[in-house]
Amino acid sequence: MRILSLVRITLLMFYRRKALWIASIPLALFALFLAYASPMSPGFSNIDGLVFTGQVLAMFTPLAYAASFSDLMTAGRRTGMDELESTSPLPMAVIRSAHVLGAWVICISSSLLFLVLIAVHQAINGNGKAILVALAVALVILAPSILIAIGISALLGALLPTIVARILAVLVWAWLAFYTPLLPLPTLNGGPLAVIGDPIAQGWFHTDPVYAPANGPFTFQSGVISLLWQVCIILLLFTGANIASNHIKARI
Amino acid sequence: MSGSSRGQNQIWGRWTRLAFIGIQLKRLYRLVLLPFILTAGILFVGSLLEGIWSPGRIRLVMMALTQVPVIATGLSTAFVLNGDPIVELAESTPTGWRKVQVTRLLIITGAFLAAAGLLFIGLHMMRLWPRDMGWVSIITPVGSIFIVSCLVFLIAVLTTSMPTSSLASIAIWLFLCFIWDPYITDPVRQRLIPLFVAAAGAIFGWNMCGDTERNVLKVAAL
Repeated sequence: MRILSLVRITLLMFYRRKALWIASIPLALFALFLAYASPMSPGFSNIDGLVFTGQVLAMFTPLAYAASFSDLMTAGRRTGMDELESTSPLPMAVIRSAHVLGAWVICISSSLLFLVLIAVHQAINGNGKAILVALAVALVILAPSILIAIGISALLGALLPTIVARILAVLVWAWLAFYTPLLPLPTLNGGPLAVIGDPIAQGWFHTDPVYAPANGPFTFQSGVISLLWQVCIILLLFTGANIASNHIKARI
Repeated sequence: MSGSSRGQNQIWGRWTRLAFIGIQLKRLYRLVLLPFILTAGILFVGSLLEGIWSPGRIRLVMMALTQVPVIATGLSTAFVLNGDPIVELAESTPTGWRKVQVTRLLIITGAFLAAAGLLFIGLHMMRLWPRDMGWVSIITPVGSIFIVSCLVFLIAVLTTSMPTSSLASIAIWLFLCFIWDPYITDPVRQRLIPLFVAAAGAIFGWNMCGDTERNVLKVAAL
């Protein structure tokens, strides 16, 4: 019960941050435009289009989310809120998870809204599975990417000065999401460890991946590996951010 | 008699204004160094790669690297304009909050503009600037930095929230870099139209920032 009421209160707290909601809507719209205008785009009228749109949203919107959550774990410490939180009977880790949940709900809502709108449009035109696919795409492609971006932001924000952390988090996400063979940078893209959903998109939804896989097409198993790997990264990032934020002193 | 006292007042006024800018500069000097460090870093990468790679390939790298100062401008502006808890104090003095905000904005924007100018000159001389059309191309980096900082100023005034301003700054950059620039390719039109929008936004923000009641209430609500 306690945890449920914590979740309720957290969602209420984040519901009140209206400016953040409003700002994330044009962000998702820009990404939608990119998904529509991309030369690789299969259009919005079939399952492929839904998955591709989900992937483009998962590549571009986290750029902004990586910039904005660097105080996710440390804000309480600056206002003294953490002292209040430590007197609550719940473990700190649970409270911090609730904060992450609230941030994640804000981040995914605008993208989810547009995905579902596209799916409803498809459903009206006779594609019965569209809404289920949209929800699945949001859960297995968008959600992990957004959580990784928030985690990078929170971890760097707990380790580094705010402004350095913000710029670095954006650059780290840019490195993770974008790749061109013309630059000799090592990359996770093209392998099962990519964090933008290529293995899942090809392995589970049978669409064309954004970056051509290096060793043959992705299978169902590479999708499973990819999802587990992303869950591991997310857990590591937030655990790291939690530990790091326990060690910093209050900075007013 | 009165003339000399007016003259003294003018000198005194100019002196306090300089001192005021000095105080803000002292507060932000590390952030003012950031754009110059970025410029130096990018130019260093350019000179390092110059003999090794073909210019076409380096220009591609530069296309990515020259976006870093624009991202940094938005985030730095969002950082200096938000999260100062002493709005009420500034509003209770003859200085006022708007003067504090605008001075900080001008210091950061000025530093980033100067650094972007240097970056363009350096890369232009090395013939490494991507899509170089002669000196008119300087409008590309300078314009995008001006646009981003004006709009982030407006959003910071509207929301007084650092996370939201940071998010919006990246959204603005995303729009400029991926949606506007690839379709509007004429360098002057590419920058002039958003410049007007950004200037209008900054004027709107300037007017709103003069409202003492609103500033104090906004901080009280945090």
